[in-house]
Amino acid sequence: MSAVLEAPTEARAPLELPADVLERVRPTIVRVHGRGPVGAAGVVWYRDAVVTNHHVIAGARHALRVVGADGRAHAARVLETSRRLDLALLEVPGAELASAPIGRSASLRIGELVFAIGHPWGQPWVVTSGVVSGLGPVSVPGRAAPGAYIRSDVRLAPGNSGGALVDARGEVVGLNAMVIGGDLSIAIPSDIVRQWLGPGR
Amino acid sequence: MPPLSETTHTLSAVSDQLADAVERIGPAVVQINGRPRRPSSGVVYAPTLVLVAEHAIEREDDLTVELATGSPLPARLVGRDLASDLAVLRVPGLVAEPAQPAATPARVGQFVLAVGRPGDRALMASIGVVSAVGGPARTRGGMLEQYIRTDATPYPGFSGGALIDARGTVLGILTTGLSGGAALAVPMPLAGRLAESLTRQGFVARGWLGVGTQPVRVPPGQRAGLAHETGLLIVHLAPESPALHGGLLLGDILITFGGQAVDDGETLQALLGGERVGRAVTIEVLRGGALVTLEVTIGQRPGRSR
Repeated sequence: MSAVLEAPTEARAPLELPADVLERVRPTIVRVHGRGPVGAAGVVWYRDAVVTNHHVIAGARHALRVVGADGRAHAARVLETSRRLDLALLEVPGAELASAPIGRSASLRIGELVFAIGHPWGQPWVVTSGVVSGLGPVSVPGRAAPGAYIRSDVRLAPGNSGGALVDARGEVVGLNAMVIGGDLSIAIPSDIVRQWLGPGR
Repeated sequence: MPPLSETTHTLSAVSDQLADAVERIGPAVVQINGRPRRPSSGVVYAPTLVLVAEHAIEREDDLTVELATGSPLPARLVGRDLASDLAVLRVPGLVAEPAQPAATPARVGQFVLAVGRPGDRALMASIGVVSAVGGPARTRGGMLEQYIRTDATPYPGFSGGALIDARGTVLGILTTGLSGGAALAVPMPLAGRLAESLTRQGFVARGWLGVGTQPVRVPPGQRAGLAHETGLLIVHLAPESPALHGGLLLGDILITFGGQAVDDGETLQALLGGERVGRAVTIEVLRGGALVTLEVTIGQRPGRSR
C-alpha cells in the first residue's frame, strides 16, 4: 500500500492536461443573473470586480446577482459600461471572489488551443474547446466599424456571454460575446478589456 | 496534481505545435477569387500550380489568386474534375513554397486542422478529428475513389483549403461541395494523381456509358437460362451516349459488363474507370426474356460545359 502512496507523480498524458489547467481558472468564472431565465457569465477581473458583456446587464441594472463557483449568490452593482465595446464592470462588495489570471491577447496565434467556460443554456460551468480561428479586424453584425475580435471554433450558446476564453496556459485571453454564421465564435480580446478598464485594474 | 507550471508548460507545447502547423502551411494556402463576392481557398501543391474546389470556380475569365500580401495574381484554369470537386489553376506570377503532403495517410481519430484563406486575405483555422476515411463514393460527376470526413468546422470559403495534421503537412484538399455541405477532403495522394491528369490533358479520364439504371429482380422464367437473379433495368439513355450508339434500348436489363455481374449502380460505376475510355466492352442484357450480347465503346464522361 505504502509503495502505491509513495509512487512518484505519474507523467500526465497530454490529452488530460486541459482538465488540470481549467480546474484552476474555473473558480474565477461567475454566473451573472440579470434579465431572462438563462443568465450569463462573467470573469472576476480583480478582487470582487466582475467583467461581463453590456448586453447581459442591459435593462437589469437594479436586480443583478452574481453567483460564484461555490454556489453563493451576491448582490452586484454596475460600476461602468460601454455599449460600443459591449463591456460592463460590476462590483460585488464583500464577495471575496478570487481574480482570474489575465493573459495578453496580442500574443495569440491562429491554431492555438482555446477553451470557453460559461453557462450555455443555463448549464453551469461548461467547458468547450477549440482553436483560435482568426485574428485581426473583422466586421460583426450590429457594429458600424470592423473591430479586433478573436474568432474561434469553440461551441458557444446563450449563457456563454461574458464568459472566459482561456488559453493553454490557463489565462483569460478573451470575453466570449457572440456567435456569427452559426459556428464562428467571437470574443472580445483581453487587451481591449484591460485598455477599457484603464491602468491599475 | 503536478505543479501548475509543469502542466501548463506541457499543454502550451501542444497548443504551440498546433499554431506552428498552421503557420507552416499558411504561405501555401491562398485565396481564390472565382465567383462573385464569395472567395474560396486553394493549396499551392507545385510551383505555380494551385489545387482548388471545382464548384467555387464559376468563371474562367478574371480568375485571381491572392496571398497574405501583394496584389492579386491572374490565374488560368488548367482543368476541372466534377467527380472529385477539384480543379487546377496555373498562376505564372506565384512565388510560394508548395505545401508538403503528409507522409502517412489520415487515420480515424487523428487531430486535424482545417485551414483556409476565405476572404480579406486572412488565414483561418478550425480543429477536429478525422471522422472517417471512406470511398469509393458516387458524386455528382461520377465516382470518387476515396475521401476523408472531418468534424472540423468548414467556414464559408474553406473549400479548396488544406486539411492538415499536427505537423502542418497536408492530408487532403477540403470541400463542402460533394456531400450536402459536410466537410470532406480528397486525400492528397489521390488529389495529386488527379491534378497530374488535369495538367497533362485538361481532364480526368472517367468512363461513361450514359445510362440511368434501376436494380430489378428478374423472374426465373425470364433469366434466359442464366444464374443471375438480379440486373440493372435501363430507365434512361443519354443523347449521343456510348450506350445509345452501342445499341442498348430502354427496358433492357443489364446483367454483365466486361464479363462481371452488375446488380447495383455502384458496381457499374466502379467498373467505368478511366482506363476503359475508348475501349470496347462486351455487355450482356436481357431483352424480352432473351440474352443479347452487345459491344459498347466506353466514352469520356462529359464535363460541366456539356
